Amino acid sequence: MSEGIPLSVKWGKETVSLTMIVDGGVKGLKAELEERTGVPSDRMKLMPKSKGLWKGVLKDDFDISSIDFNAALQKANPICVLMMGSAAKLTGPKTKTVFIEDLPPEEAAKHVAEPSGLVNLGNTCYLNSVLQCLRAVPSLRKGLANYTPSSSSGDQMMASGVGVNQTNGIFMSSLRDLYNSLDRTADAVPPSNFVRATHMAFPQFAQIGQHGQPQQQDAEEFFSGLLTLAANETKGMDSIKKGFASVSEKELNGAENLIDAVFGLKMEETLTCDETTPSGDDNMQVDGEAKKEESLAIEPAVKSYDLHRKLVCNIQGGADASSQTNVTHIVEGIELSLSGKIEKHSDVLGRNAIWTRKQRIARLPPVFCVQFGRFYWKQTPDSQDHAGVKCKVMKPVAFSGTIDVYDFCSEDVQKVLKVVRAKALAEEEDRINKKLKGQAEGKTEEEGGDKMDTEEATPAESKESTEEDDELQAALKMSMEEELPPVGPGLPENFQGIYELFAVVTHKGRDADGGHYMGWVKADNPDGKVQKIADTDEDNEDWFVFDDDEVSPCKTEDVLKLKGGGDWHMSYLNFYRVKK
Amino acid sequence: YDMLESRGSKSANAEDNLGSWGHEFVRSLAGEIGQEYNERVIKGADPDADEPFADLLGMVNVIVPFHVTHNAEAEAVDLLIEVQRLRNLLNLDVIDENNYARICLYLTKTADFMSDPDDLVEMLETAFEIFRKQNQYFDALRVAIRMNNDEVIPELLSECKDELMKKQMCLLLGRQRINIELEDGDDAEDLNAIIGNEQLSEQFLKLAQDLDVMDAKTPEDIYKSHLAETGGFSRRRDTGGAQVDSARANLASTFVNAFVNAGFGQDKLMTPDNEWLYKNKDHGMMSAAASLGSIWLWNVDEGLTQIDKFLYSSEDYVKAGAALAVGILSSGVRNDADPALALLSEHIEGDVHIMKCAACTGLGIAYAGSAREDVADLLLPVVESAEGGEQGMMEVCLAGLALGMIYVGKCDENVGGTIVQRLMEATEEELGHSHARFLCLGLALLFLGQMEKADAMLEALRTVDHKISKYAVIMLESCAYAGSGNVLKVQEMLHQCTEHLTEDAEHQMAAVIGVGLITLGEDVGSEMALRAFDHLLHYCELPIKRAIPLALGVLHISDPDFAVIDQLSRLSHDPDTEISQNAIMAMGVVSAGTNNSRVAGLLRQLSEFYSKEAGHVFCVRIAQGLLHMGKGLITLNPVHSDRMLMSGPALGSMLVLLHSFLDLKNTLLDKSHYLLYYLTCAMNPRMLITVNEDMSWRPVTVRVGQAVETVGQAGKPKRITGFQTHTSPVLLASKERAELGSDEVLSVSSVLEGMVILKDNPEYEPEESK
Repeated sequence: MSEGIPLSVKWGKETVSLTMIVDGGVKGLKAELEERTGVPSDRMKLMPKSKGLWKGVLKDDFDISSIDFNAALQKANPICVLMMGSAAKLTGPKTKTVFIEDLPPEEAAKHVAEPSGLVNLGNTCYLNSVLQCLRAVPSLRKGLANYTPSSSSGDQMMASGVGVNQTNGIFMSSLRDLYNSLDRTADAVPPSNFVRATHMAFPQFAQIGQHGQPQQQDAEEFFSGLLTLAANETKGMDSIKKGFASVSEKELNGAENLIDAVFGLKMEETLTCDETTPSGDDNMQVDGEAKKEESLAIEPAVKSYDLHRKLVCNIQGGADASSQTNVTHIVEGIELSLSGKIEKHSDVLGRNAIWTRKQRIARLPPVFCVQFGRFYWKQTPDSQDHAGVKCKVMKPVAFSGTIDVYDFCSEDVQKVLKVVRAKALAEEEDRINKKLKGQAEGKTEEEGGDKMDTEEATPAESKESTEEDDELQAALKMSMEEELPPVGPGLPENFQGIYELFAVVTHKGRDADGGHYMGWVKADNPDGKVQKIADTDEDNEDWFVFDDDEVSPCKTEDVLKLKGGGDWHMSYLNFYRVKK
Repeated sequence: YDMLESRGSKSANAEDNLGSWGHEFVRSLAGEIGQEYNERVIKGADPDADEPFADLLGMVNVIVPFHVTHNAEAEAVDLLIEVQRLRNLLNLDVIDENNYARICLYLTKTADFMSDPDDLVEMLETAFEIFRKQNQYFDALRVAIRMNNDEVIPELLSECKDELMKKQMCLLLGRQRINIELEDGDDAEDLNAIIGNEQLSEQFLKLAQDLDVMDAKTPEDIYKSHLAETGGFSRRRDTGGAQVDSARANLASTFVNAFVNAGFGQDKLMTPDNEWLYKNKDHGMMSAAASLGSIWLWNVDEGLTQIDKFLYSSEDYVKAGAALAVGILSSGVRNDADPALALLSEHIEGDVHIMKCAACTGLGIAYAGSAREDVADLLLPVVESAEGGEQGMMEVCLAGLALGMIYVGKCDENVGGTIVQRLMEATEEELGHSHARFLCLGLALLFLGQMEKADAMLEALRTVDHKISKYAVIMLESCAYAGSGNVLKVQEMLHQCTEHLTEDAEHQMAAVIGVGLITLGEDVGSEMALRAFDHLLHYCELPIKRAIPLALGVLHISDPDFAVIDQLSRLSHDPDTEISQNAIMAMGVVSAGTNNSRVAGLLRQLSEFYSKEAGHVFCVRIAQGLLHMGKGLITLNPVHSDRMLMSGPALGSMLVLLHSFLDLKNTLLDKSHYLLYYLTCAMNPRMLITVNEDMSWRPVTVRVGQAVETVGQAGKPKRITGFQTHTSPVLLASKERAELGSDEVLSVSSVLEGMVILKDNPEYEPEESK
């Protein structure tokens, strides 16, 4: 049989018609098809559509002439064949894909959206929440990373077995190790070693409850204890240097260890004797003048300095009608705690008198903590054991994402801050003016409008500035001539006294010995795009809430709702850092 | 009886004037005849002989025609059922084109409630014969399919002289995936093409163009993580540092992409370049390559060219995936060249494990329901082989499953014998294999919906000495009675659940799914099943609870019922991992292909809720893919043709899915996620296209609304409620029905689903002329 067989080859959407020369064999057919379609013949798969041909894919060594074409042609003319094949080649991957499943845990941790949590080892949420908040203090972390137990404690360890220094050393190093392991894994970490070290260093936290389980503890007590212990362990300039890259003695202003450098507030306490100074309602204008002169001469105010590691926000008012002030915002609470009346011996009067105590911050830290005075000891003389109970104030106390400490600062610090603030204000005004000018320029282009404007603006400005405080002028002048005295360690040059909230420890529950603590920590925000909370100019940033081993994301607006007043979590410790 | 006697004689006297006695009299007379008949049977009369009942039957013969001619067809049928003389209907000459439809509707619908299978068959056969007599071959075909009577189909086709009707019948055969090849006749080629669904892809794409959903969707379009409260936040952190891919997340995206763009022939991940392929790992690559099959679903000609290059990959996984893709894309579509068989056969005979797995699965998908012997010949040796340890068993199981799919509901002795033999000979270890369940499922599928035909096999299965035997028995039994609504079987299944087991409770899980399976497609039964599940949730142990979401799913495939979604949403937050994962998957099944916005919202919430649990996220992603399957144009519902017929391959593939959910962590969450592609067998466009006889579109107005049950109602009750008027093509949700909106045309089919051929109404008069 030498005549051609009509063939219709279906290839994808196309149909190729050709005449097959039987003598050419499979190779001949494929060569012909290659010419027509461009598909390489070795990648060609031919399958019969009509019946009575070969079976399956046409093989190269198949003998076409064995087919009874006459029979096949009777059924279908032309004979239909399906061709599968394409000229396209599969290319390898351009870049090798890395799978998170293949990575070692520490690598994988870097790519997980949320930082890892801490496992609750039986009422250890007080500890977990505080640790998560402190984790976000970089200088503390740096100081810890380079921590080595002081050699003296090492010697003592040898000598006296379990010494205080040894437990402290263990505490510090286990804290460091815990933080390191948190950074290295994506899973929740059980802080077993650290809890053991805590129980050794602070035996009061190792209490066992009625049913044999560890008791709930006060997060603030733990926080203070941790700071005290760490302060002892990080004495000296060397330790401080580990936390801060560059810091001068002057900046430190009396801070002797890393903890005081980071958290320490140097407080200036001013005591003025009320009974010798005119104050209150009864000393009115009538005889006030005379008395004032007299008393001032007699009793001078007493100033003393003290070191604190936290501010306290006292809560008064609400249902408790006996109190004079009603604290609804954190600023009011702090103010309340910083001033007060005490009874003290007055040399002038020769007897005990009422003095007004006023505390002000004389050195600002890079990070400070505000404790809400939510727990207090309530005397219960009527109860059976007359012991009293530990109570919790549920009253809501609002706070915002930032806090301005200017009002809480001592006069010296205020002076410095004022300068910076005035500068910033001036710059801001300048910027606005320029902007306005720019607009004005746009409006009155052809005229010498801008000249007019500047001429008008300058006198106005100067006029304004002349109206400013003389004191400020003096301070400004001072700043021109010499450098401002530092207000605290590690603070930026033009620090204005504004701090931002970056971590919160909250407590849920009605009493101090139970309930649950959680830590809320602000997340890093690398690209800085932030939306505002609806109807306010407060930034709505990303936060993480650490509920022991569960870590979930949330927003600033959620954090600001932790002010209390219900049975939901309410803030107990607020951590602030310098706002950038 | 005396009363009856006297009254009966009176009525007999008034033979010509039965109506004068009043309908009420006739009705009570009919009731009394029934009672009397039963009494006599109890007393020992032979129900098959006519003599003892001559007097009664005489009256029956008067009453039945009276009923039929007086719009009381239901009563007539009831009476005949009572006296077991249903066949008499066929001899009635009063049945005409006006009342046959109502009689047959009543017959087919009441058939479901017959407890005796013989009665059921008799009723259906009667309906079949009536349709046939009235030249309603399309309806006759529906009943024939309902009876699983494949032999009469060619007869019907050759009897039918109406060309349009023939085409319409072929369309139905195609939908049901019945593999019949017509030999003779001038139009055999055309009809074969219709049965082979060769035009399906073309019509589907045209529908997509008409509805303007051609644009490919990315998985991200489905996840919509920007809508999630924290989604944007997490993603932003990801961008820092080197790009790292999670193989599991990418695998989920692969499936979502495959499902969402199924049948569209274009997507944004796989077709543009090959980068995405390599973003998957090992078995993931296989699924990624196979996803091409899903994307080019039904489009054999073009799809093959696209897949070709992957067959030459140096990676075995990619090659296996490509082979699977060839199988997937020819799912339910017949092609004379049989590319799937031609290309896959060499791999079955080859010795690369992964290629063998892919080839088995591919063949199972491609030839599901076709009962092709040449395919079985390829697969049977694989089932019989007893070597290869764990990998070997995997191949055995997959081949068994494929055979089950190919011979679904065919009760093939050869295949059944081979599988059960293999099960009996299997070692303890082999039966303990995580995939052994699929071998059992393969066996069960053979008897899908075949009821008592499975009895012999049940006995054989009981002899298997392994705990899996219990599981296999229940599975086989529930499959055999799938969709039958058989209350006794439901009770049997519930009885299985009474034991409080916490371990080795696989058979209980199968029983729970079985309850859903048996009541599937039957409204009253499924309502009752829902209540039974509530009780199970309260009182049973974990294994049963784990299966309940799946049973809920099987009852409502592609039918997002409000209450069911509610229940599943509750279960999806269950602290037990498997309950919640199954509930999530079930939500996907229930909402498959509907784009239901409520489910979409729920799933989005779940993706956040479980953002840290890789397994859950995978489930949520798959569910999201199912929800938006085919961009909402595709349904998985195996019940079709006015909820009368059940597609075997579709239900079979759903069962593959459900039974793999029973052991998620060893199947879909492990390496055999490609089993998900069995779903393509269940995929069908949920469209109504009206066409001319040459298959070109003919848009007409149609009313679409909730279906209303009209069985046994007098007059011409409305069949739909709360309808909206559209111009075809339209999409139909489950439990929705369509009606033609104009008198201008008549439909050849009695059911408006899928593709419907229209013809001009000869009696139509334009309104102007009135």
